[in-house]
Amino acid sequence: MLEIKNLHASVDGKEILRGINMTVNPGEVHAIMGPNGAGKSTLSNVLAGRDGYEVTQGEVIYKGQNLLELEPEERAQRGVFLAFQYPVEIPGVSNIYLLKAALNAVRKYQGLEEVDAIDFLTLVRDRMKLVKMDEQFLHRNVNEGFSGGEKKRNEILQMAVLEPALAILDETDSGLDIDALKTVAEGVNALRAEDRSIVMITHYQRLLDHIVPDFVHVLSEGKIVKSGDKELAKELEKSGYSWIHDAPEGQTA
Amino acid sequence: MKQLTEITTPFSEVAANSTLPGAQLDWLQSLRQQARGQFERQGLPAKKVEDWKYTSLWQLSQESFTHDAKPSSVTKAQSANVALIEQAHRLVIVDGQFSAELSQLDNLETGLTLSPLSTSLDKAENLLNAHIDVEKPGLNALNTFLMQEGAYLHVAADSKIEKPVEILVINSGETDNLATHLRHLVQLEKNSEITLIEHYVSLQDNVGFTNVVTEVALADKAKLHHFKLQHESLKHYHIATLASKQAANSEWNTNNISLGGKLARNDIHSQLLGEESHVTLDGLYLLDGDQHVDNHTRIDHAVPHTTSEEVYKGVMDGESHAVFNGKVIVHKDAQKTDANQSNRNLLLSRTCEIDTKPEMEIYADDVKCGHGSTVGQLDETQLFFLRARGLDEVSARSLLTYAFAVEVLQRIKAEPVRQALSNVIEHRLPRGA
Amino acid sequence: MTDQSQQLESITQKEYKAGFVTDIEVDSLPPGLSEDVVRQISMIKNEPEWMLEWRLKAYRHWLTMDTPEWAHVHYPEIDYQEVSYYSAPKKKTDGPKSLDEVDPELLKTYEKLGVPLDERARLAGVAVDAVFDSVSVSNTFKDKLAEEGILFMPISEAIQEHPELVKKYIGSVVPHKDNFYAALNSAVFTDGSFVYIPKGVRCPMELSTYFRINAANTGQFERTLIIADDDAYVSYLEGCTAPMRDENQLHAAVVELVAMDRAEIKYSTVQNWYPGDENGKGGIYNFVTKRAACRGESSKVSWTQVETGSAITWKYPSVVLQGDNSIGEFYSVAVTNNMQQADTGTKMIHLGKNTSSTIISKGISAGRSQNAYRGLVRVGPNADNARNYTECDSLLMGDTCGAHTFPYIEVKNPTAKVEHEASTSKISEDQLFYCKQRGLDTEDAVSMIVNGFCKQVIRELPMEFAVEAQNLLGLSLEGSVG
Repeated sequence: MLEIKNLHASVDGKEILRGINMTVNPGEVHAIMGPNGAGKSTLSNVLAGRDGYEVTQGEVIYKGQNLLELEPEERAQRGVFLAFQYPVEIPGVSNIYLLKAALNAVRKYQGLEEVDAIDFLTLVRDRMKLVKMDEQFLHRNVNEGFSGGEKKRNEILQMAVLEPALAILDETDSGLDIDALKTVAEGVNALRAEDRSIVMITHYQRLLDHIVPDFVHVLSEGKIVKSGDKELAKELEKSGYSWIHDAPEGQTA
Repeated sequence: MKQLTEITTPFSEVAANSTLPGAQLDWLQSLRQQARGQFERQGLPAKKVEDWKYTSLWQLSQESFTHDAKPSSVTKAQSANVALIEQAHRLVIVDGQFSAELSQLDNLETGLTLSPLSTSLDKAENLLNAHIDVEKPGLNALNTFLMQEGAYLHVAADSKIEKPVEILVINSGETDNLATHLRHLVQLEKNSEITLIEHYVSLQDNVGFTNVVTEVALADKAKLHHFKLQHESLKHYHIATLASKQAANSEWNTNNISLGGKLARNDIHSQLLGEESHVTLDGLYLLDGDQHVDNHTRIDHAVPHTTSEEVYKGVMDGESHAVFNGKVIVHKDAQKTDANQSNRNLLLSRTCEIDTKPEMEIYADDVKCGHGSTVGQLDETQLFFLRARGLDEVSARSLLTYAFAVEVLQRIKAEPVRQALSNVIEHRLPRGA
Repeated sequence: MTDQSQQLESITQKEYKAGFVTDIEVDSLPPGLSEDVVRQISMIKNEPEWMLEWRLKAYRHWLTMDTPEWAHVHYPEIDYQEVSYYSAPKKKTDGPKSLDEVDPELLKTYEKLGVPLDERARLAGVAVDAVFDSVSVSNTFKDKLAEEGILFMPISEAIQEHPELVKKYIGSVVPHKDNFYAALNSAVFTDGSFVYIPKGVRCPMELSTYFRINAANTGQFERTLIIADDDAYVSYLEGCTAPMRDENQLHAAVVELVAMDRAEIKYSTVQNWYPGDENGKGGIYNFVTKRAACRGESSKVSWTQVETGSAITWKYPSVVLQGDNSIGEFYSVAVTNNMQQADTGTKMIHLGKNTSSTIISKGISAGRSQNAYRGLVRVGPNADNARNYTECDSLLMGDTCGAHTFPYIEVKNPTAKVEHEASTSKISEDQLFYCKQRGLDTEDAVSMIVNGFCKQVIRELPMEFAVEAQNLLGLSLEGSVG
């Protein structure tokens, strides 16, 4: 599904990622953890193709294709979904309009017809149950005036509708209370599938209590310094991140 | 409009008497003559000039002014009494004449030069008229033609001057209908910092005319904290231009407070010419009676990565008339400009008037610019809250009006200055507004 | 950014679809302006003496006036002697009594423009007056409206049939001396629409005028007069196109609206005059005076405009709020691209008590265009409790265009509450990236964001017009789902 090889990336000339190696197979859920400033969000932005992130070395292969040479929308159309840490507000554009436009963009790439209005609405209503969202949200402007929890649920709703092959969840747990966290986690769990991989980026272990990962990686100073299974996360919870600087170079998954 | 000759005639005589300083400097003489020609050509700006749409100089043109000041008898005690800050390097000008006796120019801190313009003209050639728009309709040309005194302020590179400088301009009132033309030159070298107060007061309630131009040059990383307090007589005319040019990483924070004057006009022009330069233009006008105050500000973002912030507030009572015009221009290629402006007004009487015009002209795309302008009243909920806590209505209104006004002082970091200005404002506010 | 600009270019540089010329025989006056020309126009129209006198007064005053130069627009001086002040399709009879008598070439023209003059109009429920160059060529639904007592006809006809009404109201909102272009229009106007809605009548359908400049070197000077009597309501739509020609053409219209007690007028414009080519060659000079008088208490006038065309737009649809409790609204989207220049906005003059006004202006500039909002909010000394809210946002696409804001606020009453907010920015990179991450290409993402930016205004338009406006903005229709 996804293979990251020796990925180096800079922002404003400052190197943030210093050689990331990682392989994600179909159906796997990976968690990337690390202290603030480790490069977690940089990694998600590089994978999604945001401007201002310069890849200086290495490559990213997604489904056998060089991901880095694609435009952001081409990545999205091919099934790479980023759940934003800070979902963006778009005044005047309704949620349902964006959803439909996005779904049709993906379908167009897949050579499918545009979805008809009735089918679309049926689909969306179905997926809204996953994240316990009220239908009125569909007609509100994208993320405008949404609470933190509503924005994050809205991200998962988009994921549920677009059915990506690779979902990157960037700090999806941040700013959520425990009930909202559970709702989001249930939504994500319902979307786990054999042909879908999920990469979760998080600072805290608590999300991993609700979405249990197959692999856990610790990111520090732009490198993965340790990889393991879900037990690694618990270890981190106990001892914090301070030990990692002393640890030897970690193996990659 | 009265013909301009009627207002220039006495001025021309002054020039002929050659009582003006710098007669020995050829460059200055020719500058004065050019300015004279220009003023005689342009005359006083008429209301059809967009910049003077809401302000008429007709009454000014009807007054007859003199330039012969009687020797003044202002005492040290009087001067100390009106000064804003006790602990300051102070240059005092009385009725257009520098007063060495009233000034506090001893023990100037290292790096600071503060002297009367009349004795500093040899250093002024590259500064004079270098910051103002010479062609603009207004009284700049008249000022260049007739400037008689002012302050020359220079701060050497890397000097941080601790005590504020106060330029105290006193109208003693001992000469009726006195006109004074002042020019202040302020130059901060690299990485220097100073607090400057321009302070204009009248000791008596009679007619007078202050025409002042302040030019400011800020080198790289220079910081100027600047305050202008105009508290002249309610029969006084005050026409001022304040213009600055800023180099990279420099900072100009200015606060312009108009309390006095029958007619006051400020043209403030900030030119951000170096990257990462910043200007804060704040102002307050508190008017009553038949006062007319017009503030025109203009900020030019000429290069990328510059920022500006502007808050002007006004409280109008009686038959007063306030004008605010704030122009922000983002030049082509001045990307990443961040400019914010607001003008808020409180009208207290049925006969006062506000004309406000915030303007933006933007020729670059990667910018964040905004402005807001409001005219309104005190918040009824707040009023009710205060009354519910036991304040009578008059006190509650006064308190809220004061709170509205002093908000423009909140960005002032120099505590003694802020305190002094707060006190002045508190005394000036109408009770039971 | 270049990406964005290119995308926008492809959006707004779609071919000007209304740019064809209709080949039709016309009667026209030779270029030139004089008292004789004014007399001739009046004579062709068979006007009563008072009308001619009014025109002459305006003409004589116009001679004393100077071209206004305060707007943020630049263009070479116009030679008013080079313009032809009258052009009309040759008539077969005294004027079409029904559509069957209208020249089929003309019908085809409107067909191409998508303006329904025939039975489709009936289905659409829109009554249309079509003004071709200087005269009204078709007026549908006149009889049906007459049953309700509604008068909807070319103003030339109204001068003949209802002189008392025209005489009473013409120039009462925009006096013949008002400004340079209004004076010119008063002297030489050739046609336009006249609407009178009697007391208590809600006009059952949208009334629409479609303006078309066809002939070369012709100025179009139409004059529209709409009166809504006590408790009346009308929604009026106006659309404009012109062929692509290399010369600039002058359009100097005057629109006057009068709303009596509790009356409401909703006036919507989609202005798509030919904007000139990408180098600024050709295009319409659109110098228009539009003003409404909320004369009665609790009356309401709402202007909505989508301005995408014209080389130069100089236009300030205004409301004079005379009646107590009256309401004025102005919703505007102005798009400029290439070398277009727009200086547009509104004036809200508060005179009565408890009057309120709302101004929502959205400017979008691209190419090398200049787009300015200019507005005036004035609160008179007797206008107790006046309220105004103004929101003025500009979007810049590319670093060669300009966006400007010149709001004048004049308040002489301490009970007034006036709020003005303005912002200028480019399309947010975050919003673009968010849309792209959801699979939208740049063009669709820009369209969507621009559409959202304009939504507050577009939603004020009647449905048919909203669609046309969005198409004009190069946007797909939002809200077609769910």
